[in-house]
Amino acid sequence: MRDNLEDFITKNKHNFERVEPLPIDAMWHRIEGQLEPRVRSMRKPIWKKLAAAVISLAIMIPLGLEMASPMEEPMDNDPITLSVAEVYPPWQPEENKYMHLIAEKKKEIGFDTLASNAHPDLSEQLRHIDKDFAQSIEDLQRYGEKEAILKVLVRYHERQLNILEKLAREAEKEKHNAKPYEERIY
Amino acid sequence: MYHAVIRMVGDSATAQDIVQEGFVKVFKHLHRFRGDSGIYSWMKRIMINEAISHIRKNKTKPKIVEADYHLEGLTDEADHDDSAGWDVSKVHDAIKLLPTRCRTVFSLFLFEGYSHKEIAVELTISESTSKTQYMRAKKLLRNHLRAICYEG
Repeated sequence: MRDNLEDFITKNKHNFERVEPLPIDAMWHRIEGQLEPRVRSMRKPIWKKLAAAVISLAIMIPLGLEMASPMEEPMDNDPITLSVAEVYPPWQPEENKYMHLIAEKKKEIGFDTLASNAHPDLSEQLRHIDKDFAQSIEDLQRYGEKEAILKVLVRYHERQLNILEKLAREAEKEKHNAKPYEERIY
Repeated sequence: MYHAVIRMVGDSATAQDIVQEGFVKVFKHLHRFRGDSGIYSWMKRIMINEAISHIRKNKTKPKIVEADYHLEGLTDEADHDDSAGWDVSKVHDAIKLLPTRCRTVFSLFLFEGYSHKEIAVELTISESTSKTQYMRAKKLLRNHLRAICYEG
């Protein structure tokens, strides 16, 4: 039996990022109080704008991805050509949402410029997902159990996003390890 | 990323303190960000490291969990569909009720996409401990959810 708890969380992952409101103003005042006085007094307007922009960006990015227009066409630079919506048009908004998320993540990690031999295990996993994905699309055309198959397809998208997230972290780690010790903050 | 921290530390006040410290570090070290990876990933990594650091500093002996809870018989699947009444808010609240280590492993694995191997390195535990904690978390979470949904 599938684990409905994991399924529930995976399916609603983006809603979990906004379940508790963050008191942004109060948070900024506290952060401002901790920044160096010289920075605050000399460069306050720009600094404050920059800080506010960074905080807003950090908070809004997940929200923005979640709310990305479902009717947008998939991004042109997305190399994924497998389309569920071609065989099952009602899936179009859901597919567009995932295509957008995946394209954003790939763009973020510079996926297209990654060396082909970098992280072979993760690349292999992505290739497997593509194969399984193609198989499920065939199943979708062949069989009537659309709901079940679409659930599987959602899992593929989520797995793809998880692997891309891992790639992003690997890239972070490599950069971090390449730095001289004294420059490493994390 | 605020929610990633809440899920790891379990309460919003502590999470706000950690996010605050994290942002101060972000601003202080912004010049070191070279732009060749996503700023969101970089910042989130800092926040998660801050949360892990907080958990390490406040490390306590694991609490004794419910008496009906046996690791040997633990499975990570429900024996029936118990999802009626679940919503994001209830699941979020139930996650916050988990013991610290379970909650941290659960959040890193399921929400942040870490592997058990990576979690083991981050939390200085073994990979099998990470897997066990994950199963414990799911089992406890289901119990909490049953209680929360029953209370209505």
